Amino acid sequence: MAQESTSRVRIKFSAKKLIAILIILAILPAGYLYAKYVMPINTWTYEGRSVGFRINLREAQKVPIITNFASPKGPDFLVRDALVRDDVTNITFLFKPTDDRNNSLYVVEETEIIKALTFAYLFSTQLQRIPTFDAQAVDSYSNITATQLNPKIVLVHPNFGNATLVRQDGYIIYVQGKSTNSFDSDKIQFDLATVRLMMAILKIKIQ
Amino acid sequence: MKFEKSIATFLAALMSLVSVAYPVLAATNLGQYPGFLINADGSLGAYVVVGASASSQDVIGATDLASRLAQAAAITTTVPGTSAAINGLQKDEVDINFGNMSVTFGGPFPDPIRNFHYSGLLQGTISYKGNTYNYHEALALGDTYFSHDFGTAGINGTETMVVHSNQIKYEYVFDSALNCTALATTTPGSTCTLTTPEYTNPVKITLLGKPFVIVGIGGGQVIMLSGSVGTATSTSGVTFGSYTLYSDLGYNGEWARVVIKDASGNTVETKVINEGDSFDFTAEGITVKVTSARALQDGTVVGTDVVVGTISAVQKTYTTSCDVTSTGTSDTKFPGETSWCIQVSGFANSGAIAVNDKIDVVYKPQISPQYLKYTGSAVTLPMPNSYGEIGFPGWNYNTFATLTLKVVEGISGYHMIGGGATNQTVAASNLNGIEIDSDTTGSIVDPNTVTGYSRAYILFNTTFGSTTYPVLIGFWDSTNSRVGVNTTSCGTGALNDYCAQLGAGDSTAFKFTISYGGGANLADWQYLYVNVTDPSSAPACQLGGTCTSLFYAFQLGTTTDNAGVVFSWVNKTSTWSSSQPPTFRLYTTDSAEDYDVAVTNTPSGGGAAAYSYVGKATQDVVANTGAIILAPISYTASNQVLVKVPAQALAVKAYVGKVGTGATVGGTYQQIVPITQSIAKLDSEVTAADKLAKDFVLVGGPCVNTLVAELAIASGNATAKFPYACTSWPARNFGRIQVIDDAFATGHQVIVVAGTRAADTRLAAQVLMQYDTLLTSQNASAVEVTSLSASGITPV
Repeated sequence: MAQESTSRVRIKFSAKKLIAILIILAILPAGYLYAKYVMPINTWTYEGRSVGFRINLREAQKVPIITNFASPKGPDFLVRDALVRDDVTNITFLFKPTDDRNNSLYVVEETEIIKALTFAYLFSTQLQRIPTFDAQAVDSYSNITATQLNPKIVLVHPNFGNATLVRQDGYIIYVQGKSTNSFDSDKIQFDLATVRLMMAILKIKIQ
Repeated sequence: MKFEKSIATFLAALMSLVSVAYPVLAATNLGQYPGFLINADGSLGAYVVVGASASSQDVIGATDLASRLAQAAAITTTVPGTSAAINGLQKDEVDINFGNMSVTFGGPFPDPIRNFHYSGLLQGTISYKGNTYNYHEALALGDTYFSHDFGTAGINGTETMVVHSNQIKYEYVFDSALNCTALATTTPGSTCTLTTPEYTNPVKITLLGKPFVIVGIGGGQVIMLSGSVGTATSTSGVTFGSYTLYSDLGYNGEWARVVIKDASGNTVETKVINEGDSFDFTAEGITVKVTSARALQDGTVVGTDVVVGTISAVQKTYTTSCDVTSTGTSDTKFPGETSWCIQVSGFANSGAIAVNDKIDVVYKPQISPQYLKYTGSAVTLPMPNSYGEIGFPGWNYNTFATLTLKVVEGISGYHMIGGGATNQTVAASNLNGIEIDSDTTGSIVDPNTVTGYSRAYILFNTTFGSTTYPVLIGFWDSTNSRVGVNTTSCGTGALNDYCAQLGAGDSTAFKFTISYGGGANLADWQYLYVNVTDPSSAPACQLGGTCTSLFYAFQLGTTTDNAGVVFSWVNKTSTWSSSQPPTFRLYTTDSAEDYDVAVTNTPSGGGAAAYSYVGKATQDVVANTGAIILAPISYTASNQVLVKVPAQALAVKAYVGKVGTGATVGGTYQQIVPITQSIAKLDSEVTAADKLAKDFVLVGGPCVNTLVAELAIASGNATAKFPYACTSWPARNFGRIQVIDDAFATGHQVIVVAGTRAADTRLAAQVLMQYDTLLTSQNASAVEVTSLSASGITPV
């Protein structure tokens, strides 16, 4: 019968080293979890290109999308489907003028949405083209009509909005920021809604 | 990068005349907009900046400019030769002689072609009642092939894509089973059949990019709806043609009221339609089918699902075969097409789709077979709805040496001294014969010395005595513009040493190499065999006609087919004497004759190659060897033949897919580069770093845009970059567009779009938006704008 032998390697740790190792072991998963679930995300790689956003995508994802009927594919699909289609020829932005100081926000939000739509169209296998865009001022947010050929994106400035959300009603998409009575905070609310729409257009989902 | 961008911009403007350095270039002008805002990689290098205090007119103007810039950001891509940027599958080895496309018939294209060959053919999932089901699209080419058979009417020697009916087939293939009957309603087994279609919960698919709705299945048949498919409410419409349909009142699951408006927004029809029913609006020529009515208790429509289409075209039953001639409800043509129709395969189960059930859209040309001839321009067979195409843009290599063969008389030959040169001494004069001239220098190669020439000759001298017939090979000395001959070894027999004397009944030959590359590459070699026979032997005519006095014929061919083309040169004069060499023509008369030229053909449909006599053909004729006889009758009537000899073994280039976005076949095209970062900012958001790194489009004047005010801050001073401050703006109504070089940083431009009133700024923005029609020839860096027309734009 063969003699069984055992050998053990003993490693000595000082208390300080042990504490350091434990700290490192704690930091690594914490860092991973922070990067995965907490760290702000302001860029997203779409079709190999880094797209920049005005606001943290994690925050924007919290903005609700409300649709006029349910779809098994979810509200993001309905929003995108209303805007990114092979038969769309022109997309119109509608906005209700407010005071001069706040009007400028419309341009910023519109161009951000144009950026997302440009990407979605160019990288769609079936489309590979960009529809035309235009902007129109409206006196009221009621009696707005749209068709599948000419969907409309209605920008509701926080001065006129009571909640931050994206709403789909057929081929009309409302992007609305909540009023906070502060220009800078209003801007953030408007950005959040805009970026939420962009996320739907670009099929971005954050864990 | 900025330096490169400026260089690129100015090179375009200055037509690359000279090499220049950035600092010495002239001021940027408005005619160069928006090129100077685009980086060398095609991306946009500018921000559109509006003042934090912007009018609604500024908002519209800035949005217009930003959206236009998003489309202007593009890079020019050069596509070499005749090749195109193909999204799909391209093959350049299809046999010109009854060469099939599909691998099933020996060709190079896969069968079927799928998404991984051409991404325009989709594969993915459809959704039904909360579940997903796989599908894929495919394209089968059948026995589509290429031929240049001269004997087939419709081809006549031209390389042609031959398409038979029922061969090219688009397929929508279900990869998952979908039991519609079991899932559609809460009472399984009652709907989705041919007798009880399911309108409320139909299966929605997309065929060739167009929406179709499956409502009934079974017995090898499918009932589908087609047209504009969508959901209408009182504010969201579904458009078909020039009409848009809304739905403003309904009863959930029962009925909906539809309102039809014309292109001007006028209501032209109002009608209540029950769910599942359709109604023909004859005045408008449209049928509306309500597939689902969803409404609140007060009648407010939540969404009315409708299909709108041409009368009699909305609901169709498709079977295992189709035609393109039936009309009315039997018309199963694909919407908008005249030669594509829809048929199905499988669908044996009532109310359920099985794996591998297919809906086919089949090409059935009005006249079968259809001949798509290549006459120098790309030939395409488009799929419906611009879904792709089967294309034949040309040859594998579009490089040829064109030979002109013609009669010459009274030629003087000078002594060749080697290396293609001649001396000034006439070796023989009064020579008649045939000249072979090439448009490609060096492509007629002397096989003995492998020296390339642009011109060669077969020349006949006067006889020496009564029985000796001298024949000479000549080459063109392009330096001295003389024909060189070699008479130093003019014995009887072979012509290999460039001169031969034929005895009675003798024959001899010389073999030129025809090589586009001057003989350097074996792959491009063809041969021109010159056979000369003494007339006293009275040889039979090779071509089967009557040739009682044939002196010789030329053959152009390859190592495997040494007589792909035969040129029938025949002596015109009956004597060859000590004072008069023979003269020649093509075949037996001076006019064009079929027997002047012959080419080998493989019959359309296959079989043994045979000669076709093409001397009177009006169109180019392709030989099996790849040589192309150019419009024979245009030349044979004057005893000439032009033949293109390919630089490589000739093959057809064909593709399945789509020419890339914005691409043209050959040349250059613009590829849009998507913007990746914000293109608009408020003036309050622009940082010092932005100013150093970016160009700007500043919308609004100095009163509303702080960056414009900053540029004008030294107004009244010679250093002011923008002439007007808020307080010094002129008291008149106008818009101003101005390019300012080095505005905030060296090498960066700013373009200011401003106006007295908001409406004037808007007008200036509209002019800039229409730069390609209103500003392209504008050499000034600043203009004033008073109307949206060329006459309203004044350089300042």
